[in-house]
Formats: sequence, C-alpha cells, structure tokens
Amino acid sequence: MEQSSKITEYLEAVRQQIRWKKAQSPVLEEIKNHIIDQKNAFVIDGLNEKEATDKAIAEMGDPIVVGEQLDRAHRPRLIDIGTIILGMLLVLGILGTADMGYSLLRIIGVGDQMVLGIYIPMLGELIYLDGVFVIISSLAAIFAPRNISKVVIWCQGFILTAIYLSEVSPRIRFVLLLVAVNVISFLILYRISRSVKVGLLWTVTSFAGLFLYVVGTQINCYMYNHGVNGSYGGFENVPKALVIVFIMCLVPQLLITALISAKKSKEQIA
Amino acid sequence: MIDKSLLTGSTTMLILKLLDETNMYGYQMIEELREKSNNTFELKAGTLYPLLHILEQKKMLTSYEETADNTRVRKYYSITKTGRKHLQEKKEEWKIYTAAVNNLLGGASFGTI
Repeated sequence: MEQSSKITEYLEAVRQQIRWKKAQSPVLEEIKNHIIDQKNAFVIDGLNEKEATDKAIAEMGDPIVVGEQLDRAHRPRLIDIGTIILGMLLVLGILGTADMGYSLLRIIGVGDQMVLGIYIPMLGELIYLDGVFVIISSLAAIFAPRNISKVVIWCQGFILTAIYLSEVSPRIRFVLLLVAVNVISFLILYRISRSVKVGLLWTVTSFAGLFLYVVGTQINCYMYNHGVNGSYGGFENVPKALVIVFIMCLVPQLLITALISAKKSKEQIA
Repeated sequence: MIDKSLLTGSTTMLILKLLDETNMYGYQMIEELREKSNNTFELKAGTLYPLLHILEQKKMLTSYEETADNTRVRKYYSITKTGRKHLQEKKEEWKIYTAAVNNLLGGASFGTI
C-alpha cells in the first residue's frame, strides 16, 4: 500500500508540470506502467518490494524535470488554435451580414450573378456551417481525448452536411433527414466502437451543432431585423425549434440504446 | 514549440532502429538498448517518453494499446513509412559523420549500424 502511494506521489508531481490537461492521463498511465515494469524487474533481481519501488522511482529521475520535458512535448498545436480563429471569423463574418452572407457574396461575384453561387447553392449557409464545423472540430482536437475527438469530428461532419442538404432541397424534410442521419451515425459509431457511450456522444455533439445553428440563425435574424426594420421580431420560433432539435437528437438514440441493452442482456442470458 | 535538440540527437535514430525491427513499449526499448549496446546506452525514461511522443506527433511512429497481465494497458509503438524514411536519412548522416571522424583520427573508415 505504501509502495503504491509513493508511485502515486511521483506521478502527481509529474502531472503538475503538464499544463495541457488533455495530455495528462494517457502520459501518466504510460509512466506508471514503466515504473511498475522497472520495479518488477528489480524484484526479480532479488530486491524486496520497498527497495525495488524506491529504486524504480529513482531511476525515473526528478519528477519536475521529467514533467517539464513531457509538458514541452504536449502543447495544443498552433494549427488547431489557428483553425478556431478561422472558424470564428467565418461564422462572425457571415452572421454579421443581413442575409447569411448572400449579399456579401454577391459583391464578390460578377454583377448580380454570384460566380460561385451559380455552382454552389446556399453558399452563405455553407460557409457558416463550415465555420461551425471548423470551430467544433478544433475544440475537439484540443480538448477531447483522441478517440473521442475523432468521433466528434465525424459526427459534426454528418450533421452539418445534413443541415446543408436539407437547406438546399426543402423537399427533404429537415426533421426526417436529421433523424435518419442521427440514427445511421449512431449505428455506425456503435459498430465501430462497440460502445453505447461513444454512440451517445453523437447525441451531445449533434445537439450542440444544431443548437449553435439555431442560435446563429437567430443572431443573424436579430441583427437584420434590428438594422433594417428597427424591430426585434423573429424570435417566436426559437423555443419550438429548440424543442424539436432536442427531441430529434435524443429520442432515436435513447430508443436504440434501450434496444441494444435489451439485446445485450438477452445474449448474456443465452 | 517542440524541443528540437531532442530530435537532432542520435537517440532518435536508435529508437527508430529498434522499432524498425519490432513493435515495442517504452520500458522494453530501454532494456533492448541497454542489452544491445552492452550497457553503453543508458536511456532515461524521462528522455525517452517525451521523445516518443514528439516522434508520434511527427507521424514517424504510431501507437496502439494492448492489455498485458489482464489489467494493465501497455502502449506499444510502431514505426511508420515516414519514420523509416527518416531513419534512412539519419543513417546516411551518421555514416558520413563517423567516416569523417575516423578519417581525422587516422583510423580505418567504417560506418557502423
């Protein structure tokens, strides 16, 4: 007991030097394994538990120095921070225009016909959604553990593509499409990871994405109404939209989770 | 951002060389290196892990986890194509360097590793 607390103490000292929280636990796990391997080797060499632990810790070197070196190896990468800023510029730039950037893009195009707009429908929305995607993926890349950040990025890709497609083609019912995307993504992620938790992560990220989208359109609406009409109208749909988004994200996943756990418990009985 | 001095040293080359043969976890690398060099290279864990992590970020290595002794999860490293290419370059540099040193010392010119 005392031996393992010595190791914990050492690890804690190392941890304090690593400023980037996301990097801490995998790194410490590795260091801990190393100390245990070293200790076991010393025990085989004939030392007792206490001596072996002390020597293994001594072999690691000063925890402050080790921690500092690990800290240097683990910094949020500049490119991720750069992409967050880029995303924010895109989002804010589009939000600051009256009609999701449509008129702005028209200026860039030739005369009244947008060059890119001819080929790409709803370009303003697309840029806004790309901005959201870039921000969320960068945040995920910086703060979430690697396996989770990958999932988050994929999820955001799916959901934002779905939003865009439903905007371009109003015939596809927005709600139906998103429910379909939600269910399919959940199943894909569950198949890959074999973990309901990872699947449910999708619920959270798709909700966050949609929530941001609703908020974004309302900010745009507010700016436009305020600037052009001097009124503050346009918020009446917000509660309804949020409730729909909430149900859309939650209901399918909870149903599937229930199904999966029912199936699992059946398998266990069999 | 990244400590360049860690990368320029020959330690990188030695680690890449070890992993070129087989996938390993950190402790194993230190042991292998000690055995293969007749105790000449006593690589410290405090040097090894930051270096491994930097090499992984540079995509010269990849890592995967494997459960050992039922409970403990070990992090194994394996070399990538980029890593092999880097190893080749380092080897060439090393040969030129040792040949030059040997030349100066007046001994026979031979490159090891």
